[in-house]
Amino acid sequence: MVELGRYSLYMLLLFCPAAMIVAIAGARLQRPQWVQSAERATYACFLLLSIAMVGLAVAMLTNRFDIAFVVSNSTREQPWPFKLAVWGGQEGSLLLWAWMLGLMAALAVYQNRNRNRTLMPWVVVSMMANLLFFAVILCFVSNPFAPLPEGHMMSNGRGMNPLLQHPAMLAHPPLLYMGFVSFAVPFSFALAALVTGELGTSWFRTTRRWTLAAWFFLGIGIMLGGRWAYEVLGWGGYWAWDPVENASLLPWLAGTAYLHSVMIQEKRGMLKIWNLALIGLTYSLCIFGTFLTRSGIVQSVHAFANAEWFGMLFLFYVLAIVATFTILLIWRAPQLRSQSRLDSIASREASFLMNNYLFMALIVVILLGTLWPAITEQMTGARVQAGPPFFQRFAGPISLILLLLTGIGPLIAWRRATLTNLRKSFLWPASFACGVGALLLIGGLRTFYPWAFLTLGAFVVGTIWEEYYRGVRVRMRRGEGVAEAFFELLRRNQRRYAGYIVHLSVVLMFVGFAGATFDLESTRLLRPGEKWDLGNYTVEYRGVQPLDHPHYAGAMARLALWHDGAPVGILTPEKRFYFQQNTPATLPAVSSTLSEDFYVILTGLEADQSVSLKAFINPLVNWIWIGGFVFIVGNTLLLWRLPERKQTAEREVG
Amino acid sequence: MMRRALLSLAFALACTWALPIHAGSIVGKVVHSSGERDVSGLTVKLFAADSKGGFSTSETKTTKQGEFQFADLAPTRPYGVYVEYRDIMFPAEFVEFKPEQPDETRSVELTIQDPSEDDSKVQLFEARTVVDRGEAGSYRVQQIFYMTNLGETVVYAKDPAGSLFDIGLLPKHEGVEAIQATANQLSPARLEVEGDRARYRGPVFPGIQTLEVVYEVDAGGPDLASQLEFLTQTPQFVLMVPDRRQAVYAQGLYPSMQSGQREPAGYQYFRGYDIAPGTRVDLRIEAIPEPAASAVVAAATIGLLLFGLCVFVGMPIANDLRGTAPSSAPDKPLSASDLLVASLRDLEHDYEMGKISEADRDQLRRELQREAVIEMARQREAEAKSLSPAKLKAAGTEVGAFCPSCGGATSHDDRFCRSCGTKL
Repeated sequence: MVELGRYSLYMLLLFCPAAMIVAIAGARLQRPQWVQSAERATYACFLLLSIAMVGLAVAMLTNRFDIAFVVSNSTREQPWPFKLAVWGGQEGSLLLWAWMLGLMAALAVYQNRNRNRTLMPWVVVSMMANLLFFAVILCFVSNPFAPLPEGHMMSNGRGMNPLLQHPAMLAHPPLLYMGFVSFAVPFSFALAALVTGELGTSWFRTTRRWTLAAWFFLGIGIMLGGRWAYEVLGWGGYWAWDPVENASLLPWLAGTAYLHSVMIQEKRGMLKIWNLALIGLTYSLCIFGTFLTRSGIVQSVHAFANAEWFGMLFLFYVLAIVATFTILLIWRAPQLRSQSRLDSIASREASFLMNNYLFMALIVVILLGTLWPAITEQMTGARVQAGPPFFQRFAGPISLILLLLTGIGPLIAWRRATLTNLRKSFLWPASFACGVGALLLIGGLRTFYPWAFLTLGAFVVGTIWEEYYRGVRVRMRRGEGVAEAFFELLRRNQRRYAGYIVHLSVVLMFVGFAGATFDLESTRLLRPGEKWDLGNYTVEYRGVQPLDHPHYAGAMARLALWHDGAPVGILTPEKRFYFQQNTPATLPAVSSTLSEDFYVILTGLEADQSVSLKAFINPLVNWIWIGGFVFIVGNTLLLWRLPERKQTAEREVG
Repeated sequence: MMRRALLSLAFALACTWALPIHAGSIVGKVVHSSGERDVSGLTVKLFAADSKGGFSTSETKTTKQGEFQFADLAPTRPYGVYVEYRDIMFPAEFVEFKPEQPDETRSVELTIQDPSEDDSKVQLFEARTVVDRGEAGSYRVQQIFYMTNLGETVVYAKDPAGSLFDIGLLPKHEGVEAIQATANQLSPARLEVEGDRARYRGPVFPGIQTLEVVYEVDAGGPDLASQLEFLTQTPQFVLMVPDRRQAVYAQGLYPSMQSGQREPAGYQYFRGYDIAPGTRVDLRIEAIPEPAASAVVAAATIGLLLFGLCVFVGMPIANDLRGTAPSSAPDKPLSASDLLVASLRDLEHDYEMGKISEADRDQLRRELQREAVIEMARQREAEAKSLSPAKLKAAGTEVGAFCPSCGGATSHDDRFCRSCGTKL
């Protein structure tokens, strides 16, 4: 099976170009059977990649320590779920990426086997061109089946980085990759629309759900990464503005902008060029993120060790994508003129447009900050890092306005809003927000950003409530009960009302982010029996016990915790040293409530059993994870349509 | 004639005598750390590397004041100056003559001290064993001990018969023979090797030192099955075996990477930490045979897979070229009415919620219908391109017009809209 997997990768070099050539020939010569062959080649590529994935999994499970990747990423003792987590290493992660791309290509082809026949040959060409790039990388640059030097064989491997051996890591990278890769489908349809001139609504209607799914997976992946960093890395935070974190955020922001602006095209036939450009930008940023991770041009905790030219391959790939898409877009621009124009600045179109500008500004700032070390190195010879304060300085005000627009957008009317309309829609949410703002001020909150985020968050919650309330009232006028009216409202306007749930999740996350302003951090050396007061908490150090494990050694401190004088429990932060990887790890202990986390790490242990502790009080941090859960609920409702009541009910496609 | 020759010889000799002699000198003094001990008559040795890779040595004795001198030293390679005191060779001072000042006199000072018997500051911090396969059934085992003396005094074992470190290797393994034992910079005489055991009694100077013992082990075959025995508390142990297709089983040790190493290179590493005296680690090294001839099966499977996929992919083209292709499935375009219906539904909802005026609703509705009509016309055109004339005619009866109320697609025969039921 392993050998089969190895050679399956090489077979991709036959079937990917074959699919592209036959698809182009089929499209040019108007031979549908040839296009069908190209589509079959797409299925074949997916089958080959699946065989390669299974082959690598078998190699990992059967301890094939004659394969360099298995040696570097597995041991005989490694639990099987982590053996199967092949994305822990460079080669495996690229294979997973390629497999997902193959899966997406096969699904897109299957979904459109009887429709979009003009677009499909070019969709196949685009998907297979992307896949061919990865196939070349996998075969010649970063082959997961590459053997050790001739005659070499290890009796055991070095194993996966222990920091990665965490349940969140089983889901975080695949979800991120799924998000990145899924954007290839809307990108390919957009590209096909540009090539064929089929610039109507088909391409974005067909890919609406693909885009949503990609955006959803990427969002969940980013959030799981934050949760993993919080629980495992032991630095007290969840987001460090690390270049690779930023690289995953950039396409998500571009995707968010697209999901909003495409609604203007749906309803008003406007922003056609902009929407195409946005989907091109989103996918380019996905690949750019991979380039950042694998090129070594930025220093990151996530970065893979690679030669510079390896990154150059990805840079070439990104540039090729951007250049191709831009040329096609310029070529087709005359056919993409809008039928409508912006009627008023007080309209939903305008608020969505403003939202897009702000997302673009945020993308530019984050991109600039991420690349700043590389830019300064080129200009001055010295790398200057753009730290969190740089990002926060710009992201703060932009996010604030975005939050305001999150409230305004849903309530304001299409085309133009009248004063009466505005007063009617915003009176209650604005009053609620003012009330909350005043209460926060009375309560002693005098710091601008958290106050503004919480007040605007209240405004958004008010608008969401207003939308649901008025919607239910409208349905109740038709004689429906409250519950029936609520579910009918959700079912008949599922996209809109599920979208509001996603907005609610964003508000909840901003509540968590706002809490970060009040984070408290302190370090202390404690002798056994000594107490330490921090905020409303008291910690008593009750001793340390050694950790004796087959794979690591270390120490675990026992800390009794009180909050406002009431006992909370025993916390046990750990410091470990993993033998196999020569890697230390700091495992925090956390006491969580909805209002705050008490987060403590063991930073050092002295000969007299004194321990050095670092503690953080992170207010409201759990609202971020709650927001994440609501984000999943909202997106699930967006993606899975509730059953229709009537046979004749309209179907929504895409 | 004879006289002329003698004169020439005398002139040549005179010239030789007059030429500068490139030879430096080392003058030095031995000082006792306490400043009170007699430092006269101590042996001072001079080591110099020769051009053949060996060493040349010379020695002298100190004067009453502890002074010594080595003269006529050619500016070749670095010289090492050692002093021997109470059977201990104290660490060297090194002197190198610069080519531009070859005949300079350099002075050195050598400090000696009485050895201490307090071994509390002497620690072994790492032991390293390298096991490599040698000639026909033999293994070459190299043991390196890294020890540190955190004090300021040279340390010796208390008991002349005792030792600071006991080094065990392959207990009760027959055919073990030490072939080389060196204690870097130290007195080799203090390292006693017998069979598979070595004892080191000191001295251990302040700082870090290494101790190395190399054994030849007759394994009796290509595989080695033995034990490593630890006689001294070992904070960190590293076993290194070249990764030449040999499986290494070292029970209780952890396979690992060398620091900073990501990819496998050269050796298989196994580490152990805080190993107590008396610990024995089973060690097996077995050659891994080349894989059996499953390559044929693999090649056949790969060939079959490739053939199957080629047939699967190529079949539609082959059918097309032969003219036996079944008619391809008709293109079912996304109905523009779906989008229109959803948008109209949203519009109505906004109107009912009081978000838009009636005039705006009507205007937006017209815009949506116009967009849908354009889209459907575009789709029909695309469809027409892909259909034969007969099918086109048939299709013409299928797609008729659009509902004026909801924009849904209708056929010419329809009397009511299929989507909203409006009379047409």
